Amino acid sequence: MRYKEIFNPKTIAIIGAVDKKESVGRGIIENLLKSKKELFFVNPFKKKVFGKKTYKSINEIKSKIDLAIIVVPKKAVKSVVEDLAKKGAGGVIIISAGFAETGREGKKEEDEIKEILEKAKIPLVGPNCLGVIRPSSRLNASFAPATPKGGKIALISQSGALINSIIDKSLTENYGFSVVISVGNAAGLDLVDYLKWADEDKKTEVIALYIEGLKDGRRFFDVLKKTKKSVVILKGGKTEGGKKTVFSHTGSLAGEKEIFSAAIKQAGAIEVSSIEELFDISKALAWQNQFSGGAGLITNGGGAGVLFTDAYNFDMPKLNKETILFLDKHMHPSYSRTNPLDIVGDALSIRYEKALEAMINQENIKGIAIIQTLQIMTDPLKNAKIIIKLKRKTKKPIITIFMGGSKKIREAVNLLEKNKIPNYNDPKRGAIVLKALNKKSI
Amino acid sequence: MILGFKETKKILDRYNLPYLPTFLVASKREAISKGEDIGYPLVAKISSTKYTHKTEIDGVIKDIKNRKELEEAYTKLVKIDSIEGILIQKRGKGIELVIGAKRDNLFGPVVMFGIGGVFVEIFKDTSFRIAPIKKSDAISMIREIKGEKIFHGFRGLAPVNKNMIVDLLIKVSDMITKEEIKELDLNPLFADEKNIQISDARIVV
Repeated sequence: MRYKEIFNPKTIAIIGAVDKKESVGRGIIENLLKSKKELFFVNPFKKKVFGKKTYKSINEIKSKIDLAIIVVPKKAVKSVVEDLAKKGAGGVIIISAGFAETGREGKKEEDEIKEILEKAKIPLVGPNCLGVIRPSSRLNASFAPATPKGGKIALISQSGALINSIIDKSLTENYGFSVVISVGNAAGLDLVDYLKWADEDKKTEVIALYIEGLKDGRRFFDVLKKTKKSVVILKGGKTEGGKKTVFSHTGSLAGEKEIFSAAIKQAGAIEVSSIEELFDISKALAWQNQFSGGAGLITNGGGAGVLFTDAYNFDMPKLNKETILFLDKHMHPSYSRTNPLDIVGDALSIRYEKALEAMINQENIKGIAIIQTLQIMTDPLKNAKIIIKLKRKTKKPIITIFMGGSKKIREAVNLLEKNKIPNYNDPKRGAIVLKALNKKSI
Repeated sequence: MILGFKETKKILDRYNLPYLPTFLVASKREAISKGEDIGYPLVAKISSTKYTHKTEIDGVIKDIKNRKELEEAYTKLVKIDSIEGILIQKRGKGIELVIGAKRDNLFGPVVMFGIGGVFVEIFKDTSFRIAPIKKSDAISMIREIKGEKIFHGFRGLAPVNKNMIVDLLIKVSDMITKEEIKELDLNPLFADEKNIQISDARIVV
């Protein structure tokens, strides 16, 4: 399949181009106008859209079309698709809804369209989707209300509305996207095709999936198993509807939820239970290495350390003699002398520096989390700078839990995250992330 | 359709799945003769393709220590309707486990492992994998069980032989992949340090 023209088109035709306020068509055009691609507006009922001359049909367009985006009402989709099949195109996105999601009649029409495009060897995204966004090629071929920042996370979602909220949230966060794909009804390309593509995509470091249902679980499982990149999965619709009669314990115990979770685990992917977790973990995987072995925790607050340890509940090796001897020289006399390493509430930046050095130098500590509770003498920005400096010298993944939300904290967190050290403002969130980074815990 | 004892046993034998010494008998005399061959203590239970859970209809009598008790057990069990005979079985020893398999609509053949017995659906302490499974999958299935500690020996119960469980899980995975089976229960299985043996099996085709 030729995906290149879907994600990096030079010429784009919008069929059903309108500038009516609050319309889907206008939303797409507004996004596309920012992308500086060569655009062709097709609309037989209007001479101009956004002040630009329109074409009555695709056949009037002389140039080659890389990407065609169809926004016309459902009943007109088929004839547009037939024209496209004749003219040829690099790829088609059908935004229009009213197909398989509405029932048998809609499914039939969807199948017809799919067949026409298949014969013409034109890859199809949708129908009934939000579109695709490729920040690196400055393409927003969707009616999302905003364009996300570029980054390393590929988001592939079976819900379009969720995508909009995720993008909106990401605007005030430090992570960004290599691609955002709304799967829609997946008449042509489906979630598994996109997963395969994202695994080969050079801009993508981690793949975040929102899945509600699959057509072929086995194919998904086989592809997921072969995926080289980290995949984080949020599965919606886990509660089972009407259960069939079962004759065995296994039949009654092996529900959709259990088997789906087992498949994810067996394939080496990470399952999460909320949108927050999806991006907490994706962000960390995009920025930090995974590790295999023990974890170390540095904290300037006992309580926060306990909350982290409760949630982490996995291998945290003791500090060895050399580490303790080194720390004795630099710490407050009542420091914890153990892992979690409590460097005491009055810790200034020098203590953070020595504590982190000690953790980095202890061989069996492979991943590190650093908690900072805000005390009167705490200097978040200075602490952040020290962590960034030491991170440059080690391959061990480091995450931070700088708690609080004041300007002081936000500045420090932004600096950390600009330097690819992910921060979480709750010990539990940090613990879940560090565990996901630990290959041994999966 | 649930398979009867003989057909079930035939399939299990083909994959070398270890069944406790068990005989399907049709008369009291046969029950006694087979029972004394096996040796006490024994378990007697109905063989039926009708009931999903035998214990719910008092179809299992455990811990039969002598001929008199065996006669009584037979007389009682034979009164239950829709049975194909009575099973006389050597009493199992060790921890009760469950191994199951099914053909899932979405993922195809799937294997299950867990703590067995009559409470299996209450505690739901089970793990799943998509078949066919590798040795490492089987090992992690065992590790995933919340009550995993009891496999190491607990309050006088012997530890279980994990290699034997791994071996059995792989055989079951092989079986569900190759055979036309919808659902399979091996529950309970009795496991100790030397043996793992099937006490009850159900195959749905």
